Amino acid sequence: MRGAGAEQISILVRTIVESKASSNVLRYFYGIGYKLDHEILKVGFAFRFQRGAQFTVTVTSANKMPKLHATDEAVQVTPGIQLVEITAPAAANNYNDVVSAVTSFCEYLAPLLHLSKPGNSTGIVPTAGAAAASLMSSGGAKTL
Amino acid sequence: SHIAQPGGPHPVKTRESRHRRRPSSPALHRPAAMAPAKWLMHWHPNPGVTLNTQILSEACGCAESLGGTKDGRWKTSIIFYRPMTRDGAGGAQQNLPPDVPRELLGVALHERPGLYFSILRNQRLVLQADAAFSQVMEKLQSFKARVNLNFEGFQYQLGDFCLRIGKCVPNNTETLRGIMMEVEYYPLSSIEKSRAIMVDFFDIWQETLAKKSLPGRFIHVESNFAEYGLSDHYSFQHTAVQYATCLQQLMAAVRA
Repeated sequence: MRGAGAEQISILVRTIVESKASSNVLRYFYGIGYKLDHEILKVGFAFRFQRGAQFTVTVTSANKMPKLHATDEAVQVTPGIQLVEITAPAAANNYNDVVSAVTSFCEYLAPLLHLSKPGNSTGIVPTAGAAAASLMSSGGAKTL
Repeated sequence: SHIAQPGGPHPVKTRESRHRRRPSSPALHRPAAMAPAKWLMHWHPNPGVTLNTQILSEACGCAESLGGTKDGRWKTSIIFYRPMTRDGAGGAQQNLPPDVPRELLGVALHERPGLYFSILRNQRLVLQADAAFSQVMEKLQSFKARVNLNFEGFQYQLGDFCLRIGKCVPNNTETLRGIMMEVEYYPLSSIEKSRAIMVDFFDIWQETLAKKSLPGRFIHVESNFAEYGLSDHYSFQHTAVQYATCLQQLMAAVRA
């Protein structure tokens, strides 16, 4: 990545608990006393693949809505700027492997991304087009 | 062999020499949504009589005398959660906002260890989730697990029926809080269609047990499945709800 602070971005490590639940789960949380705090509409893409770790890459824009559930009237919070998130689950026994896989994938993706501050979009990196073409066309050397 | 036809009472042949070998969890061979019809019954002691494990052994003896083959142990757990109050101790419950329930139940069923059920009795809501959901509750810290009760004992295959006879004991203690049993009828998943055969079985069971002159009896209390939004098609959610009902009965019996 280029842009102010790009070299200082570190990988965030968080504990995640995931569970499937029956369709009445929202009613359950209201039932135990939780209340709606806010609502955000996230629009974008998700990619999942294996590359030394189980990756999920999402490219999304966050949108606010003037009224509850009014998805048709959603407005982008940071127009022209998307959030790119790269995540991979890790356990104690493969932690270091996942760290290096995520690090190397981020370096791979770096030529395409340019950090922007909200309200101050830097636009698409001039070299992005060429970098993408190069990544996509590389014979067998850099296939995902 | 005796195959039940829907509708109408049928004689229950529990003494015939048909020994159908069944794997210990035949429910696993059904599609995930279909569970065999099941009744839960709890032991209601006569007034003034305390519970003791002799009732349990007599009940197990009856299962065997009817031709049941013991084929393993079982354990279902119920966890009571109480809301965490602002002082963090989960202590004073009287200052709770009105929309926070006084308790909620977590249920881990023996036949589906990967699943977790949570019941809000005051709202007639049963949630089905993965076993990991209990970790979600722990991390949220809005409710704290206070009491962990185990329902455990032996299971018996008896023709088309499976009986599980067990005691209710708090985790890590031997204090007997109740005695109950599960009766499962493999061929049917419809609650209405299986009712007649369950009643017939229960009659035979009561008759056999009566010969032991024990100070009490097993009772089946109907759960109001419709109030929980559950259909006639039996499921694990139905079992979770029956355990909540059974627990209520056991606690009332202990208090009486």
